[in-house]
Amino acid sequence: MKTSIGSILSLITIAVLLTSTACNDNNTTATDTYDRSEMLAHWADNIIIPSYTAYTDDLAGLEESLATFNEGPSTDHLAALRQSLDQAYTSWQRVSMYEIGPAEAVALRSHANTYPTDVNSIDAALDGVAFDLELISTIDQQGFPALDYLLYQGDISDAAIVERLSTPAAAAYLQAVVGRLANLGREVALQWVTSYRNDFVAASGNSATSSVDLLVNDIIFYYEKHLRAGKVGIPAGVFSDKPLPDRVESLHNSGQSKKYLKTALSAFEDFLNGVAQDGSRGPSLMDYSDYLDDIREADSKLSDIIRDQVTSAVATIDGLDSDLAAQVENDNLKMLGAYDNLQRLVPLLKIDMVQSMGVNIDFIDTDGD
Amino acid sequence: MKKVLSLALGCGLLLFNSCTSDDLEVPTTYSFERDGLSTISFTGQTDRIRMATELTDALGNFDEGSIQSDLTRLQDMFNNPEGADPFGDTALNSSTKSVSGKVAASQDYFASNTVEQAIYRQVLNDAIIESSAVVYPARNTAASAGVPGQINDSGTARYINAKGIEPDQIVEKSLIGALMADQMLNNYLSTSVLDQGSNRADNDAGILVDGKPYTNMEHKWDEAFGYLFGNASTPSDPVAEIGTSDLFLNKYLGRVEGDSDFAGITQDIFDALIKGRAAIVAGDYEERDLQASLIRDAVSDVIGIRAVYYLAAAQREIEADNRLAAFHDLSEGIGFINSLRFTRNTTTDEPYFTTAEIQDINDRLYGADDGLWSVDTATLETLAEEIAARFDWTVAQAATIN
Repeated sequence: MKTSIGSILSLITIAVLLTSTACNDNNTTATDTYDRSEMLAHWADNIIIPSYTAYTDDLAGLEESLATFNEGPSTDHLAALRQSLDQAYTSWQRVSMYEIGPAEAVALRSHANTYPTDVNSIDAALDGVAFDLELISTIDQQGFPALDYLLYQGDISDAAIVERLSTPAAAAYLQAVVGRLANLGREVALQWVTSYRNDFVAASGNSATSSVDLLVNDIIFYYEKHLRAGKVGIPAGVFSDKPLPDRVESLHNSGQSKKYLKTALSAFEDFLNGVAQDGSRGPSLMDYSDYLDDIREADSKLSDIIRDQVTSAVATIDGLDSDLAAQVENDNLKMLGAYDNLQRLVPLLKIDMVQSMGVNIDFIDTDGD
Repeated sequence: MKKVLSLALGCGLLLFNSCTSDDLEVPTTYSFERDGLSTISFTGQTDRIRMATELTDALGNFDEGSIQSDLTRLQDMFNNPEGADPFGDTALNSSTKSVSGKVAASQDYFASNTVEQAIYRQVLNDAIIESSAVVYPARNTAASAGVPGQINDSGTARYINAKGIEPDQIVEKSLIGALMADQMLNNYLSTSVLDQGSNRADNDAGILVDGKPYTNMEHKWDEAFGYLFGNASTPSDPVAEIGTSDLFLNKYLGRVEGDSDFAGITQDIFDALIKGRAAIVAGDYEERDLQASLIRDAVSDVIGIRAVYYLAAAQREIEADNRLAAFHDLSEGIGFINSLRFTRNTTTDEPYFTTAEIQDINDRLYGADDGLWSVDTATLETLAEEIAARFDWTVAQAATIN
């Protein structure tokens, strides 16, 4: 009798061990035969590479405008240069999220868009202090935020800005910032076309190092840290004890800050939906999610919930002042409302979507305790 | 043998459904070790309780030369910004934690609701400003309806604003919900936090936090524990000293414990904290969540009971023609009413009262220009009934400590 109970117990123990593993298994991955390669090829060929092409075209435009400005500094040429900056800064919003492969290797996002920019160091460079934009410590002295400061500055007239930018030291700095920004962009775009595209599409498995897993992690990280927090939450004071209107993107020309936010969100939405640069559609995360919901016979579609949440985020952002710094200063509760709607998308992507796809999130928030 | 196998399979199937086991080792004190090292840690919670204590001590000090005259320092005690050293306890000055950063900041209630978060932070900020800038300067003049200053509450000086409210009590009692209960019930006891990222897999595999003796999940649970017992002199065995460990949740759990209608509630919460922690060690998450649910119910009860108690106490004072004595009760009561927003009804996973409902209660209490100077006993009685009606105890049980 005693041994019999003993053997029952040991069998139970084995059963417990077996089942405790089973409890953590995603028991549907076995039947997931979604064509990840086709999705990756669509992402690379119709979304990512064309977005980089548009971006590098606009960077070339920025270089041209700068050349024109340097040949004959004037307020007209300053206006044209600002226009080129706005165009490139806008198309940047459509590539910023793809910090994978060549972009990750050169830390493109940090170099192109670290803000707030270091105004004091830039002023020093304009006054002739030596600089080296290759140094990692200078990421907050270059890129779009530096150009935003250089071309708009503080409360001085356009004529005074032209004069200030016409000195040899200033011209050299401006040239260096634009040149580095353009070169980094071109380098990443070139790598995508020449070699990374094929590696990216070939890594079509579902391991932690496969392209889908990596890019899903990257875009969620981007959405959480750079779009939700960087563009909205930080200025709204979500992570500090008071609102910080001087942390908005494009601070010195803050009338464009909402446009950049909207462009970034629209690019993110397009990626989720597989919308290509030319407006056509192909296999997407939402299609993949629908496929998984289908084979699991789910009652509702996660993609509908995600799309609804994006729609309501867009709607609250539409209600904001075009100048997000002014919005924070005048009615921050509205900015917080926009943050809340952006935040509500995070668990849908970071928990529901990735769990459904069997993707592990490789970054985690800590609360500092 | 065949019989044995089918039995085992049966158990296996049962276990598969529930993922639980019945062999929990539950210690009698809050003591958990791994390889001889204690795995318990809640220093961040102890720090915040102490910061909140210094802040509310300062706000309650109306002596000449009190820190009250220094609004910046009070706000620094609330926010603990980098570079500021507002605390008397130097260990707190070197801490990177702050009180305000965790006000209305739980994952479940506020991660996507920074609008309401901002509202409660504003309530506390405004009360700090009012105490320092309005009430403290008026401390040596007599208060009356519409005029801030001092009143004689049966021999004790109380300092009130124009509506009869002590702002320091709003801060102290609102924090019980907005900081302690919210973090405990809606953050650290939540599956959204306990199971965040790879916490479950790590806990199952015994993967520890880098350089620490605990798993992430164990630590989260300890942090919940810390908001109630983190300032106890013997945290592993804190029941005997309940009510004396801090001025916040611990103190008022002690008050509720002292009412025979609720005696035993401290042991119940403590036991659930131990059992839930043991369940984490055993990887039994269903048991863990069951214990979390018991704690949520009991701590929510404490807040509801104290809100009703103060309304009833004030009603008695006013009926005994001693309105001035009611002001202190109601000031505490308003803080507990604000705290209702942070309670958790385990049936709905929502607070027992919404912000809109709480604003409505506040309006009915002191919305009139002269605030508490004119609130009537019928209003107090109705509000107490409305609050108690949502819980499974009565006004009569909560109204007196006996």
